[in-house]
Amino acid sequence: MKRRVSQPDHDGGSFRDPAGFIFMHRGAVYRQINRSGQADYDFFIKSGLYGKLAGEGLLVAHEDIKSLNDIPSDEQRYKLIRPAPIPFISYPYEWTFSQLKDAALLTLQIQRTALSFGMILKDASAYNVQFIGRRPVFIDSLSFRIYKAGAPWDGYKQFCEHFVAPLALAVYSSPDILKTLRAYIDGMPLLAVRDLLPTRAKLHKGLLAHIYLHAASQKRYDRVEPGAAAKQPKISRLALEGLISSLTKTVNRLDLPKQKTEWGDYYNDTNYSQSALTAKKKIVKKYLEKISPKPKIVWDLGANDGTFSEIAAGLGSYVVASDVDSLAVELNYTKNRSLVLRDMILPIIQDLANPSPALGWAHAERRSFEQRGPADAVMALALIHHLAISNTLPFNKIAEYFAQLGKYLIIEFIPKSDSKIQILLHRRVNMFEDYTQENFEAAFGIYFTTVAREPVRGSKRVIYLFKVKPTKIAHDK
Amino acid sequence: MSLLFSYLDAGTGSIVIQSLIGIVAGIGVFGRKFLASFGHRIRGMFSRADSGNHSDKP
Repeated sequence: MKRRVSQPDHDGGSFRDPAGFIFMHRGAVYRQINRSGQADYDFFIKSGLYGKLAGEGLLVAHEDIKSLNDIPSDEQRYKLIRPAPIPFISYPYEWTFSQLKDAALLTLQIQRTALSFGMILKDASAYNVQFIGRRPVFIDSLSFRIYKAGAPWDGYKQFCEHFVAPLALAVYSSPDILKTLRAYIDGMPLLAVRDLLPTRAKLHKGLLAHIYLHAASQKRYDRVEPGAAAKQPKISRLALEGLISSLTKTVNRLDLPKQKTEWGDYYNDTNYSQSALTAKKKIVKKYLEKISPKPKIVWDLGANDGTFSEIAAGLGSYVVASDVDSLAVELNYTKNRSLVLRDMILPIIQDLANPSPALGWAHAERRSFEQRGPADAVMALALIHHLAISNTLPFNKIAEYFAQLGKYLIIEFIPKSDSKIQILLHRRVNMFEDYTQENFEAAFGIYFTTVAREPVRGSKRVIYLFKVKPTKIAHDK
Repeated sequence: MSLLFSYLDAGTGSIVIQSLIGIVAGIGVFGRKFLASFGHRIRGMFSRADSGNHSDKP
């Protein structure tokens, strides 16, 4: 009988590098190494660089796959490997300042190590880094090329556009500027960044070199005259080490000024008493334990500093803790946590009223927030009033969207009398007459069945455990 | 098997500036390496002298 051969599902963002590509097959992620990348890949393994980086947890480990019988043959194919899975793929435009900075420093650390093994990174895309909880890991095992004496770093421009430029703008304007990386998925153009930075940024030696002089050099030399021979200066090994050292210092010296978050003091500045907060934590834990099978991935929407994400992580779930407030996400990312929890909570910026869309070529390079789901469980605590009142979203629209995101939903209803809602209703007194518990239950009842419902003792809030109705959404399609 | 060169456009301006920054910063790296090895030698001399003194003791 003839074996059925299925086409591998190419990752939409893995097509630029002719040395290989990523594809999905039967629920697992694989990387094909093409014959054109064979020499560099073999050196990467045999030199011990792979072992060193993977051993230190700086690079995602992989296993060699001898063959996959049910994929079509490909004469370009040299090897197949299966990288260890990343629980949730996040993108630089969803990262907070410190995440982007850590990703930059990881890239430079890997570059230094690669040089000491006789290799060099051929690119420096921020998309080559992912986070496992708080830990940044390099994911592209085809980014390494055998170093040839005198060769420049081809990824230098990309490093400045993907890391130095956005970090500098965040420092000198607002960390929220990092959200504009959505528009610049190939990095921020240095000439534009130079014009956006205040004059005092020139006093920063590193920015003077890597942004201002770099932009001026691009303006002077990047215009190619027809017929002109491509003559490029050689760069000594020592100069290359100097460049990496200069970039490391530049990135290290970029720090955010201390700022107050919009909701950063939420748990200190609320009408929740300590006993009500304890009661709320108990309910959330109880609901998470009720979900069967135990959720592997939980999305905590409006996670703030991750107080409730820690409960889910403590029960063994990997938590994607999102919030619209970039400073709250920064606080969550830099919060002191036990070693176990550190790898279990991934804070990301996500504006639910304008969630990450599918981006890039054919809308397939970067997946939308929803396409990276569904989560096994979604938590939306102290969130509904922001969506329904601040963003004037009707309950049924919220319920419909939440039903796409996860299989279970733990959601808190906050009545109008709550002080947080009174702040939001200021100057809009006669609006939101339909913001009632009855309407909330009716709207969510269309998409979910109620598993449990419990008032939070010591407050007027109610927490629900909903299960999505199978007829409303085909999660396992 | 064919060797791959860059799929990225490194940009002539970026290569020119990285060579200049590299030379300036490379001098610093060289200086630090030199000072580190010089310091190591000095410490080595003293530690040898030190251990020599110990061995002279009866």
